[in-house]
Amino acid sequence: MIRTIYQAAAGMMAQFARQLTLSTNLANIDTPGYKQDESTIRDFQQLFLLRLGHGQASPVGTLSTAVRWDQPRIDTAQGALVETGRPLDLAIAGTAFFAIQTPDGVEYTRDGRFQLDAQRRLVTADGYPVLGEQGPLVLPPGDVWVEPDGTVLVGDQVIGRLLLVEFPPDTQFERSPGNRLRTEAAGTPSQTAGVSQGFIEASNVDLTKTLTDMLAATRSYQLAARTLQLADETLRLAVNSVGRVTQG
Amino acid sequence: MEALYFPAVSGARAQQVRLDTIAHNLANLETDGFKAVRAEFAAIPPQEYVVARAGAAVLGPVGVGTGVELVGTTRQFTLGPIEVTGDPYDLVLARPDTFLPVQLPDGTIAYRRSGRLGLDGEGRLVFEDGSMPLPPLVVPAGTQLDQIAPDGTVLVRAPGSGDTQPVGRLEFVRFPNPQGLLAAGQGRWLATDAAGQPEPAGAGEANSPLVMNGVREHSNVDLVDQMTQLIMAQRAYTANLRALQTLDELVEIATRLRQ
Repeated sequence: MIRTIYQAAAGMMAQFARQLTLSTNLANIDTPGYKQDESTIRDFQQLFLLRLGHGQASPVGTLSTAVRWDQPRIDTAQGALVETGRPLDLAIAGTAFFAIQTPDGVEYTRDGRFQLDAQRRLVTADGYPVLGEQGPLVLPPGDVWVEPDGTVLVGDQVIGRLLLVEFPPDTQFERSPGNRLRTEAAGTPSQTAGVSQGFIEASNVDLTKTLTDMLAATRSYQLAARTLQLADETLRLAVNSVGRVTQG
Repeated sequence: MEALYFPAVSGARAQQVRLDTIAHNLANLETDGFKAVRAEFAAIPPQEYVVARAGAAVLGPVGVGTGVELVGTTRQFTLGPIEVTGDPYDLVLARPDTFLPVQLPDGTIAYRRSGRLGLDGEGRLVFEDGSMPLPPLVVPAGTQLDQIAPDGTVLVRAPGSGDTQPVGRLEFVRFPNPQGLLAAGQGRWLATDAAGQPEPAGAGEANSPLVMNGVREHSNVDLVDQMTQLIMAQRAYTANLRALQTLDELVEIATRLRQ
């Protein structure tokens, strides 16, 4: 069992995956409402090893690969609010999400670049209705006002209130197309989140931190690669030199 | 293998599209009636993908993000800066969401938000690109255009006379989804299915003006905003290329493991 080689390889794989995550975050540095992926690297995971032979597997013991790359976690930290002056650009300050009705069920987003479709429903950029507390919102012609509590008015007429949903802090989200997130967890209507009209929430990716992390990941990768080469070199010596009686 | 490079490439490509829209906006900084364009991006959801086959038990299939995609461009329909010319032939619709139906010389129906009017050989009001407001409005011989009232009524008067008389009223429409309109150049917009059916606008809404007469609408492109966006796009482009380079270095290290 050449453990060092496996451990170094696991380190390289983990750092490579981390690099990919960072690069995905960088690609979305300009995507409104984007929430960055946070790599999680677990250490000292014990693996159970089996010996395969003669058509059967027999246990031989455990191995630690030193590191193990885990499914990235979505960091839901607040992004900066950027003014656009468009009446249907909405941003949330707080922890809530807009609820969107999609064919696959209700999904959640912080990307508030909304518009009206041909039926005057408030929809996302890809055309799925934004949910109010009483279902999709249909806006009659006129000037649209959105109050900080999510109440939508056209002229003086109240049309409805946006459904703003909050989740417990440790909720697991999955990504969906169109900057949306999906979750099995049940949310509760938010009482504290504030909606800003004429703003969008910028991506919460931090350019400086991402590039710094990228450097760190590169160095860790190089170190792991060097470790692997050293282990290989040691083995070469063991195989070719140990026990050799005569030179040449 | 190329999946490894795709997030960074998609990011650089997205910034390139953003640069294109900024260049388009800046080129139209002095185009009357131009509406600024914004490129819209969305994250591509991750795909289940095995990080390392040898380590299936170590790492397992994980979802790694796949980058960013362009989902479309949208227009900012806010009013541009207004310049007072005092010329009754200059016309701007006061509400950002209303449009004036016009007929192009080839018979197509288009929609305009502003423009400079003139008269054709039959005394009809036409825009300088040859498009004619619908229904046609004729300035009778021996009279001249005096003004277009805030509700769209066209008033004419005989030279030397102080009395004005209405000859008709411009009609306005509104679209449920103006983002669905197709920009056809020269300040014209074409209706599409996505924009929805045009609805008459203006009737019974006289409490706020529909038309501003004697003014020109400049491009609503904000130079400072665009220059800031330009800097950000350039930096983001560089950062994405840097990420690409870094991933490439990692692949190189891996390929040189056995020397």
